[in-house]
Amino acid sequence: MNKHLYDHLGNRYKRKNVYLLELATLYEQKTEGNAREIQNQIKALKRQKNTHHYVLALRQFKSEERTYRKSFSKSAKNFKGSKFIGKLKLQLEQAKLDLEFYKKYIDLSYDAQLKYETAKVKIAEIPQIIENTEEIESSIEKTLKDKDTWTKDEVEKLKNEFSMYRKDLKDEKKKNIVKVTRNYKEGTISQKAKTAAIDELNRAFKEKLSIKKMESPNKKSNATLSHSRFDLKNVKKKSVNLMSDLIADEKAKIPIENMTNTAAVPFLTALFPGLGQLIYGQKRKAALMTLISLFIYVIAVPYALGYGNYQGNGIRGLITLKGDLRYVSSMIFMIEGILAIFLLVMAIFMIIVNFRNLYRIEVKKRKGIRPNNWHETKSKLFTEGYPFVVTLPAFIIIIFVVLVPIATTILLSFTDRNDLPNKTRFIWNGFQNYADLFAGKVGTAAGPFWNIFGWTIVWTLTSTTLAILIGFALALLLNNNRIKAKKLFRSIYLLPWAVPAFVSILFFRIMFGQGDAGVLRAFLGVDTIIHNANLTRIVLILLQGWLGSAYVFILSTGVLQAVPEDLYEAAYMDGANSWKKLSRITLPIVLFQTMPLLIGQYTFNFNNFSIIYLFNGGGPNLIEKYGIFAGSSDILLSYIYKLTMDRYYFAMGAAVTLVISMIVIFITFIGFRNTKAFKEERL
Amino acid sequence: MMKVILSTVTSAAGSGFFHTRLLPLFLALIIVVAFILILAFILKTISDRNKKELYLSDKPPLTYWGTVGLIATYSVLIFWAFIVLWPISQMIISAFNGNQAIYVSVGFKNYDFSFKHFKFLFEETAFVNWVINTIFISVTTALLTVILVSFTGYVYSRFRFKGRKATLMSIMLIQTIPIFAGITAFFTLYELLNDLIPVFSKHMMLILIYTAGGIAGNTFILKGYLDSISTELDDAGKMDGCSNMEIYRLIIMPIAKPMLAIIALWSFIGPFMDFLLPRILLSETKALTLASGLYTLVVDDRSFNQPAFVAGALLIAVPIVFMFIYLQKYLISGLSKGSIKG
Repeated sequence: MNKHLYDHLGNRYKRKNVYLLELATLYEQKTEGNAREIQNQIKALKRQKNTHHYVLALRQFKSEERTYRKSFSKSAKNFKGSKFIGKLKLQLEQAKLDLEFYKKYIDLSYDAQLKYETAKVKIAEIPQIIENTEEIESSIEKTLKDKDTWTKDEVEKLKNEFSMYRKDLKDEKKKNIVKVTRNYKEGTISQKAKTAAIDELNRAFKEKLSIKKMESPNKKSNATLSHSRFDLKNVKKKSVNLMSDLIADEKAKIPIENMTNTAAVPFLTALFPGLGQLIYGQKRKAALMTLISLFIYVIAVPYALGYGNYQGNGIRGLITLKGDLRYVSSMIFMIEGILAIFLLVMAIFMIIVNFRNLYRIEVKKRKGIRPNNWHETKSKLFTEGYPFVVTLPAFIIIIFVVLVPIATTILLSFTDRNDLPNKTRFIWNGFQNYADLFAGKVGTAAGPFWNIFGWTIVWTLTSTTLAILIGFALALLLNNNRIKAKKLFRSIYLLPWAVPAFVSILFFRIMFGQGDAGVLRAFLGVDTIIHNANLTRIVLILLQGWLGSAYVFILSTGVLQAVPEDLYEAAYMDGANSWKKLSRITLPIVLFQTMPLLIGQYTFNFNNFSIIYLFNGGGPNLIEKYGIFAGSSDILLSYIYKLTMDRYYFAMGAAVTLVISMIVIFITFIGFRNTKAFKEERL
Repeated sequence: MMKVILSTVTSAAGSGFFHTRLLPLFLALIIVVAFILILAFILKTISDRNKKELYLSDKPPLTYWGTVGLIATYSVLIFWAFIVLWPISQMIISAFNGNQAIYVSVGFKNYDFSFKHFKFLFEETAFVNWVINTIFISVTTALLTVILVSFTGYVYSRFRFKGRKATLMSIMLIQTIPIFAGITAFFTLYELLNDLIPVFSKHMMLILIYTAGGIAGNTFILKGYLDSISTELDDAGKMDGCSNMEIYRLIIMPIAKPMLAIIALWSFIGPFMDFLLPRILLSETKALTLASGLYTLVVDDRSFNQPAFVAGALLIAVPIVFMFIYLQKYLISGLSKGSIKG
């Protein structure tokens, strides 16, 4: 209990509430010596609260205020003008009465003072707003009336006039263009000057035309109309906002006194967002927060308990993975369980945020700072809350379409869903899949894992490096300034990237396949490459060299062109030969600039499912080495695809997915931690 | 792992491939080199003889070895151009060859120019449906991605708020996980959503998946791009009383337009090229997208028709290729601008 009140800037105010002041004084006098005596006095004062003269006065004020409020019930319709002006006039009327009523009680309570000051601001501001609005509204009306007075003939006449003018202008322009062209042909001006002159003429023509257009009264009045309508909207919004700001400023200067104790509010009402705000008198905020309450108690909690699920059983379903109905797949129980957990976590997060919000209000209120009014809450939501409000949709989509599936994959890897397609029931299985995976016994689903892992690494390194070498070599060769037809070469080299990958891969599949079209197979001198594992692998790597080189080529061409010429000149002066120039200037610059994207190419090929799957379906299958679950050119990603989609080994597929995701995330994290952005905390 | 490498190398070496194919190649190489040397010599002597006029170029005059290098460069460039163009030209030739049944034949042997395969594509397959589906999915994905990413990119570039670094880091890690990881859940998720909202189609599910997959990476790209632009304009806007929304609409959007165009383009191309997710989610032939639909023409026994595939491939490749050639500068600048800042 403090004798003084404070606002948010720390300014001190005297208490107006005499009862509380007396109490505070007593508390302040309390020392070790007179503790008991003062305690008794406090008790006596508290006992007499209902007969205390100030409390009685306050009560009378409250009841009078109530009757005053009841007497005032006019409708906005009684006032002339638009709805907006009607509302303002009503407010003004009320403010005038308020001013008179609350003036009597200024010394009694800060609440009354706040009402008084608010009324004062309104009386000062509203007439100005009304005047401005009416002015614009009347001008709009006038323009509209003027517009109607034009007769058809007059409009027609103006139209003709305009088209005449346009024709004249066009003829003049044509004449000028002819002149310019003649000059060009005679050789007095260059090609560039000619195009520039023609451009200029066109521009002048358009400009003159648009100026003439504005002379037409119709166009003019339309422009004025749209302008004043915009003005009207602006004036309404801005001036009302300004008034609210002024009121909020007054509010900040007038402290609050607490007769009733609300210290328990944050603790008692945190579970029900909206309730606490209502107690603090923030009605509209409370209405908004009630939506959150609805989300928690109508959607999240019942869903977690198993009500309103599709066929699952909330969180319980996640443990049992089955229900009463036989035909319902365990998958549904799992996903609905995960959804339930996500919803519940969101609900708990909201409750925590709500509690912190209420607690902050309570602490401030104790000091004497009033809770925000609706205007302040709204503007806070769109300034401080802006980042959260506008990214919310993106995060909701990420949570439900990315995180939920990932969580499903993680959980799935701990089940025994490794069987026939019609087996819909599965149970928890612990780390069995991981154990199988690392044991890698031949013949099981996990059998080819290590072989495939090895080939994936070889594939990633060789194919990407080949593509980078080809692409970079081409860019370097083409960067020679003695080469002609650079544009043509560049467009051709772009093609492997521009032609959709699945198209070219499938066409190569045809070209290497059996039948008439398998000409490339003939070049390799074998009957078919489909049954030869190593040839398939080599062809795959060459193919990716063909496909990936275009991207690297374009990338390094861009960088090469940006290398400053003077570097080479300086090197030439110092007697550097071509090799030195290449290794000391070109390579470091290009590598530095394209490094992140080249690394991206390695990740891309690590995950390059399409080329493997489309070219030969991961084949040929070597049963004795790879078993029936994968082929000899499969990489990890196509192995997962085959496990899940062809063989229905969902759990094992999930385990493999998790292992490689971990590897990729770890590598990315390490790489990212070393970047400048991360170290400088710039992020 | 080492075993795989070793076995690859040794068996390739032992297959007779080297003896029968690489020896002639080696001989051919020697002939080409000799040819270049002689050609360079001839050219050099011709140019020396003509060297009466004043030498005007700022490049130093070519030496003999410079001429050799230039000719070699040209031959390499032309060689690679041939390698690039040959398969593509075969594709175009074969698309118009009426003398093919269900297999493609290469070259002008038995050539009969006709539009037979295009006709087949439009009349016997659901090609038109595929085009419509694909365009619907791609355009919606691009629009959604651009709207969502423009907000997230702006917020992460210009605001400092609680949880910023943590969410940014998790976004960064999320984007490295391939979309593939959630494959098993998508179908069940679709069932749930379809039960909740009956009009929710599988195509919409695809749009959601593509959009969600694109948000993370594209946020990074746009954030990097906006970070490289100073905040002077925003500050001026704030001084003049713009709200955050107005700054977004009037300042950030125009600034970010080139980048947003690139993001839109990539999000448009992504679903265009993807055949994996449609293959998993969509079952009816008519509901397929272009990539997955054309795939059935090469792989499925029932609808097997290679020439029709080639014709369809040509139809979709042509607009995309021209778009790439026309926009190559922007595509590249988008790639490099977004990533280097990391």
